[in-house]
Amino acid sequence: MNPFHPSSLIPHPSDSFTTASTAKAGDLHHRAVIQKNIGSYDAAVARGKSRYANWQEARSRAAAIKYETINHLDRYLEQFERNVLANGGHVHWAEDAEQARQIILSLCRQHGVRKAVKVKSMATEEIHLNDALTAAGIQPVETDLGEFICQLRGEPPYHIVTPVMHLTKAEIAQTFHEKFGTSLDATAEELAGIARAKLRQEFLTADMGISGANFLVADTGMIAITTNEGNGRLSVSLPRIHVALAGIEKLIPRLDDLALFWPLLSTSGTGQALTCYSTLVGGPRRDGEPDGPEEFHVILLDNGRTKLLADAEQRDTLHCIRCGACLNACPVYKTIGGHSYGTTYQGPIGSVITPHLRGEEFSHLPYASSLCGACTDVCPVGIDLHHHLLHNRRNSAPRHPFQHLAFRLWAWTMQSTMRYRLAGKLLRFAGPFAKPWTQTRDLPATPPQSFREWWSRQ
Amino acid sequence: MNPARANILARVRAALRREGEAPDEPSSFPIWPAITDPLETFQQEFTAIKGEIITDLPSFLSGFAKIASDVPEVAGNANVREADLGVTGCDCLIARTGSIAVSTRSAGGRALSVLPPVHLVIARREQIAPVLDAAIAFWRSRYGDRWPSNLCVITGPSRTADIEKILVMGAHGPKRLALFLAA
Repeated sequence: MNPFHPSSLIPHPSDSFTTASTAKAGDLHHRAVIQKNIGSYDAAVARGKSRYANWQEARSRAAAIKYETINHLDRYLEQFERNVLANGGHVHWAEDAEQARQIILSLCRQHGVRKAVKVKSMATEEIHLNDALTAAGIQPVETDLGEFICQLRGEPPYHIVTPVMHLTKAEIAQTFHEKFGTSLDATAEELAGIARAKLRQEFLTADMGISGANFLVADTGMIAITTNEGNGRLSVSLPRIHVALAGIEKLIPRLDDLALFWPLLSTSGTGQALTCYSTLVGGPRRDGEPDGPEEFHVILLDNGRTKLLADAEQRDTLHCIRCGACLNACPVYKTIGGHSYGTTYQGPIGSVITPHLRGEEFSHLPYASSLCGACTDVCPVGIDLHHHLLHNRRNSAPRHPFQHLAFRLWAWTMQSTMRYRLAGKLLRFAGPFAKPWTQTRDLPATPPQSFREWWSRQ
Repeated sequence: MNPARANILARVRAALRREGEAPDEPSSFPIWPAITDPLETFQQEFTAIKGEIITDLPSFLSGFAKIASDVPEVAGNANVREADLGVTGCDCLIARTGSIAVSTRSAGGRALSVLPPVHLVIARREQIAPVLDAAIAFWRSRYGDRWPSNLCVITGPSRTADIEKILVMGAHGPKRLALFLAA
């Protein structure tokens, strides 16, 4: 690369990743906050799973349903579209982020939208919708408490389910103090109360509600939105227009499948038996109904998902229901934190899908794993995450010629006793060369003699 | 016509020409333990998630000045945007999770069961379904040919744990969820 070319001033994602993750790994405050938060999560999930007679069977059924859906995706997409239209809704298709943004902006222009309330949605994060809306003079208001705090701080979500997992109550109180002049000692209850009061006005005055979808139900043409706070229900009840943006993989065949997927998502996401509000939207306000939006639009987003679909080996990554369990289980995620990844989807699932969705610039992410398999163990839809991380490493391997050479050298050394012994002797003096390893760890002391030397003297 | 739809469907079909690896066939083991007494389970679960079971309806109602109601049992005197209590019916109750299934048709539209700070549901004991599957089946039998535009399974009052996982009730929806079970 030409070091004087302007593009060299923008750090490569892998360099930013190394810098950010190195700093975070040594940040003990961060570690304490995350351990406390994930500790509460782990306890809640253990209680949640104890309600099942057979959790493994639930996972296995979910995997079978998702396999059936994803492997007949064209059919289910068409069925979903037909049913949404029959319910009086509109369906749009977006090949990439730009098309999705343009569809939403044009709906905003068409309806004179000045303010949109948003339900937490990773798909809208993925297409950087808030920036596009703001640039067009439309005010996006995040209404999930965690996302609201992110928006106040100008930060991306730290976690796909728990956006401000990395912040303490005191840090959030500080942010509220700066923005609203509220007390620095505010309790969690007071902070939530402030957000409730501020956002209530926004719900009542917004022109558009923008949501994602946790599931798209093919046989009834409905979208399912899950929230604990009720912001999802308010966002689809009060504004004139409801727009939902969803990845094409969100489909499930039948409404009845939610009897499995709703509890599965809740248990893996937070440990609850069911999230407070499991909501279904099947169109705009109908004749005879007292309220609800005049128009209902669903945007089906590809944005690289068909690339994942084309990789038959990793197609099951499209089973993902975005519960966040693999992030919470991942020792690397817990050490380096969500922001270090520099991606919309973090943790194991993010490291598997991002290289497909955003290209080889992100081929370093599959190495952000110890391959321990904790992610695969907790995945409620049975995605073989840690093997996919390995597959991704393999897929990008030809671009690492040094690694290839190193393994050939290792094989050559191991093939002869003499070379093996010599290597053993040399490695005892390799301590100073292990610096990248010993920067954050201690290297065990090397014994003065090898086992062979000791044995030959007995 | 916008080519995006045709392009995406063409890419999906091209991708699916290669078959993916099927997961193991699920068995027929039950996923959840059986429910023997739906009423008792419902009461336990509903209370555990901080729902309130009301036995004295008039005294509960006397605590509210502005009531918006969609049920004949309770007289309303306010509209939904100013009410401090929203009163609705429901489609059914779900024992396993202590949930209440509502729809625009059974609960007076979308806002009445979520906008006022307190939500009271009037239900009858025979409306208790043991599990979520049964509730969805009930929805299907009741609405299958003409669905309401909005349905919801409500499991407890609104809450958030976004700040340090500390549970706070009443994030945006009702802070209290009450249920009056008529015989």
